[in-house]
Amino acid sequence: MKPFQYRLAKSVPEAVAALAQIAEARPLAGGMTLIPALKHGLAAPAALVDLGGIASLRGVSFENGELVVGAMTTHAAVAGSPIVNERLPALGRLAGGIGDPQVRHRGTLGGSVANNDPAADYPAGCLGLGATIVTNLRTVSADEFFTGFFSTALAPAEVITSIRFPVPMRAAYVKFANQASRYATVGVFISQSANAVRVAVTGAGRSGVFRAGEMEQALAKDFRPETLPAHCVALDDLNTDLHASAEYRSHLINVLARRAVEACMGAPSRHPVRHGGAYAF
Amino acid sequence: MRSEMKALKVLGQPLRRKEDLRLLTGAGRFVDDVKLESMLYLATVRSPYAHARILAIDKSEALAVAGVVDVIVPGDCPELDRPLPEVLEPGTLSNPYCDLHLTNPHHVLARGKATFQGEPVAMVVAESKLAAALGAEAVHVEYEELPAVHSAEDAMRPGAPRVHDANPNIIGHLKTAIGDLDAAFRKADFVIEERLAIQRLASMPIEGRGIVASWDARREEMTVWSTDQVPYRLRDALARMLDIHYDRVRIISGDVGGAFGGKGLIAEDLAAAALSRRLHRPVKWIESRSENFVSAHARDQYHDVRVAARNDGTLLGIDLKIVKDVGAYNHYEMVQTTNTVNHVLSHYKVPAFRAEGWCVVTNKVQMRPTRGAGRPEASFVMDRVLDFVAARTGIDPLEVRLRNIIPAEEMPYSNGLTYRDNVAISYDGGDYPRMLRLAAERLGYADWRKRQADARKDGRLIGIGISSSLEAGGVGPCEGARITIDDKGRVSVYLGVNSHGQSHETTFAQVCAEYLEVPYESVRVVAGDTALMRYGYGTGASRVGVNAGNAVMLAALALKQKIRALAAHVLGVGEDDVRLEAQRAFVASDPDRGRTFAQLAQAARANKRMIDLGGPGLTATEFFYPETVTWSSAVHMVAVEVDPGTGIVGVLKYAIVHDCGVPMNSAVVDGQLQGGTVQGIGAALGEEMVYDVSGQLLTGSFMDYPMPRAADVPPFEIEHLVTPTPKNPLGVRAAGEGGPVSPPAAFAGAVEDAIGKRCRITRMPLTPQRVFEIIRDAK
Repeated sequence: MKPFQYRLAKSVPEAVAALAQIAEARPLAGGMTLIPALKHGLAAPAALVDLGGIASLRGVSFENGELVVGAMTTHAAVAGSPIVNERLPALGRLAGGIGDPQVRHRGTLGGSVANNDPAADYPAGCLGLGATIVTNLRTVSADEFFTGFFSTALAPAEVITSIRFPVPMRAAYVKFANQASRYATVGVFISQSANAVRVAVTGAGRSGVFRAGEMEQALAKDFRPETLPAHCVALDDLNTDLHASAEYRSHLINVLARRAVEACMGAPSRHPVRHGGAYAF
Repeated sequence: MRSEMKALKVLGQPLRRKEDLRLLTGAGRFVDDVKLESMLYLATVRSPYAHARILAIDKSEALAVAGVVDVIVPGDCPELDRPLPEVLEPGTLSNPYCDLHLTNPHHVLARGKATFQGEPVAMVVAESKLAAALGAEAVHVEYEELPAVHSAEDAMRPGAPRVHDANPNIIGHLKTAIGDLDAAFRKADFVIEERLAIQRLASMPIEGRGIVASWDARREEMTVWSTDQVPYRLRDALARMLDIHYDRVRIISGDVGGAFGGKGLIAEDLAAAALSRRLHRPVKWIESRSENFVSAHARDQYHDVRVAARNDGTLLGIDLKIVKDVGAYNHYEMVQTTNTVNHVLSHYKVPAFRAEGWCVVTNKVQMRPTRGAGRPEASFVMDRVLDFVAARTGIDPLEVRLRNIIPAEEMPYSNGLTYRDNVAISYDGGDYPRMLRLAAERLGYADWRKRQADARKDGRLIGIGISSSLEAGGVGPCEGARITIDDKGRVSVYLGVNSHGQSHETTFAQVCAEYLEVPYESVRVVAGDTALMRYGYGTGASRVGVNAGNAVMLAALALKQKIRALAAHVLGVGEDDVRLEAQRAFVASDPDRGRTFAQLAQAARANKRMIDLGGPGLTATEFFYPETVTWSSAVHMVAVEVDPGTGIVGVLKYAIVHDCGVPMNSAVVDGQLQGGTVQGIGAALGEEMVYDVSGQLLTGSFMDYPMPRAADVPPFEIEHLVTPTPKNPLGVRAAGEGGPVSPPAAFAGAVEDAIGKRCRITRMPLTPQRVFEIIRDAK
């Protein structure tokens, strides 16, 4: 790790000003991606502007029918939030399945979404719920926010302050975790609200998180697992790596989507987490 | 030979570990905790290529980095212009099977060309860890990339590039045979042929390697703190390199965070010591996790097996050809492949057997042993064979095993093979049929068969796997122990073996307490410092319990004899009239007349009776030399459920029946068994070091290399049988390496059984994707 300047920001304007002033400065949220990147020399910013001291960026509330989560709220705080678990339990379970306990107590919603790792869980949650990303400058819909592999609509020195999640009738997230990293090899988030069904897939796509339109249409007509198409994406658009071929990922999208629909319908899981299986999800 | 058959009071008890308080309160002292005045830091420049000529190294920019003290390239430091010493396992006299063993010199720094990704090319010493790392980045090496040899098959291809210019890629060969194999195949009702492969993986200790070397110019002595499993080998290698008497090199190994076979002498050990003497300053090197991933791997062995069998499920003969990919360098002769040959017949009678093996170099990380060392491969082959025979004949896999198993009444059983210490193999007791039946009972075998059939009706896949294993351990040549009693009756036990998690401070205190008949609390075990004992042969090869354990017992008995002799003299009676009890020697007919051990320890300082009792002080040193290895045995049975949607394998129940003779501490034995089995589950379901065709490691971090985590571990149903070995006075057998041997075979059998449809599982690991493919292809 190379030396860098460190600034602890006390407010969003102070953070934004520091990011604008210092060349090659990066905002630091929970650091669960950035710090390992620094350690391995994959990133070498001149300065880190720590958002961890800004109290207004933390917390969960329910406002105007939407769940509002501060950008610096940790995954553990979301997973353990009574408001989240009452209003949108699928989001709580998603947060509770990220990484491991250490990651969940450091990593944040805003950090994950701003990074848009193609195998991260939160982008699927945002896209699958039709969330709104609120920054210091504006609001952006999730459909417009995630623009591809590790890229977003965020401008330089733009900082996410909170994310607003509409509360659907029902929703579920089912993830197949990479055995080693516990990132999503494939994760499928499905929500059903009065006017739409949304299906978001993470981990599988070459350009990061995406909506599975064919699945959405099928489920909008008939919300049952049997109606889901066996393959919804061209194999060329899916990742192939050490852990999963495009063919396997395509298969998993279908399997996990079926299980997510079953979970939405309240069916007891036939695939409980077992000892030795997690290596299971 | 088992001299004292008595009821054990302390030995075997699940006493709380003496090392726990220190380790659990963060008071352990590891190499990276050693911080010395004016210490320098070493960093290594490594080849990014698997195979490349080194055309030029430019160190000028690195030398200009603030804090960099020196940059070492080949030719800069005469002590380092030498190959690493060859390593043979302790006790290896001559391998009875091996008829070819070529040694490619493994230089501290690559000479002329790099032969694997991660090979040290240059080294930087600096005032800080950061300066050393920045200096290493500033060393510019010009390479010309060469085609890489990426697999053993690739290496053996005619016209394949040579990994080492001076030698062909096949560097080792062995063969052996028993019985009439041709006749076995003539009589066979059927023949099965298959290629069975165990993947490349690695030991993953929680602490990587490290060294601090500190040269004292005034005394001309070298003090080293190291994580090495065999400190005396490091001592001797440094003494040779520095050209000084080995008593002038002292290796201290304090707490070490696991080793599993991988922590032996490497380039940085020699470099740190040479540079410390050169620069007259202590030099520290701590391996990063990324470096640990490219320092030593293990296994990577495939087996072409041909089996002759009868329709009643009995085996007539096995013809086995083994190929091991040893990576770029091999310092362990053909020890692992030899282990495979000598463990493959497992608990079974095989009238005819022929084995031939080759060791092949490739442009990958060098091989070192890892826990199990050739044995998991052996059980994988044998249990796969038995399962294939079961599938072919329609006989239940448990029954097939019972039809081939060695009956208890044939113990001690000799199969005609020879161990690598050149002594004829003889299984020294145990009841394999009973173990197998007991394991079936503990698993609930019959019940799982019923549940399997019921589950299948719902489209659920449940399967049962069985694996039997042997663990020959306790190889010599010897270990020693010195026991002393001080003026207050406190007891110290000194050993020549260090610990990296094996509970030596606890178990050897129990041996001493048992046989010296002193309280466990009064015994302190001291080890991990070559200044304490002049010879030691390393903690590895499941040898320490047998060797050091018996040495402690012999020393305790010798010390009791010395106490008896001194007490007789002091009390003016014959030795036969002296009784020892409760740390006191007294006249049998007059128990009030006596001396405590503490009083006798004071007396022993100056009493002339000690002239012919070995000199002053209540102290005794003994060595135990085993005649050959002793054989532990186990049966693992697992019931799994395979998720047909994802390919994930979940454990429903896991049962182990295990016999390692007399346990020194039953909780420690359980810990060894459980920890080892977890490693085996990792090997069965996830772990693999994967290379691409250009020799780049694709699994270079824990982001891609899956280790099992606590939540992945099922509860184990464990039952111990205790068959004391007659081969040593304590009656102990090896317990360190048995755990990981059976899981790959057991899971292969269970997953195959769950999927059914006559699929054949032939290689490890069973990652979800692999299981998905097996299910897909079985349709």
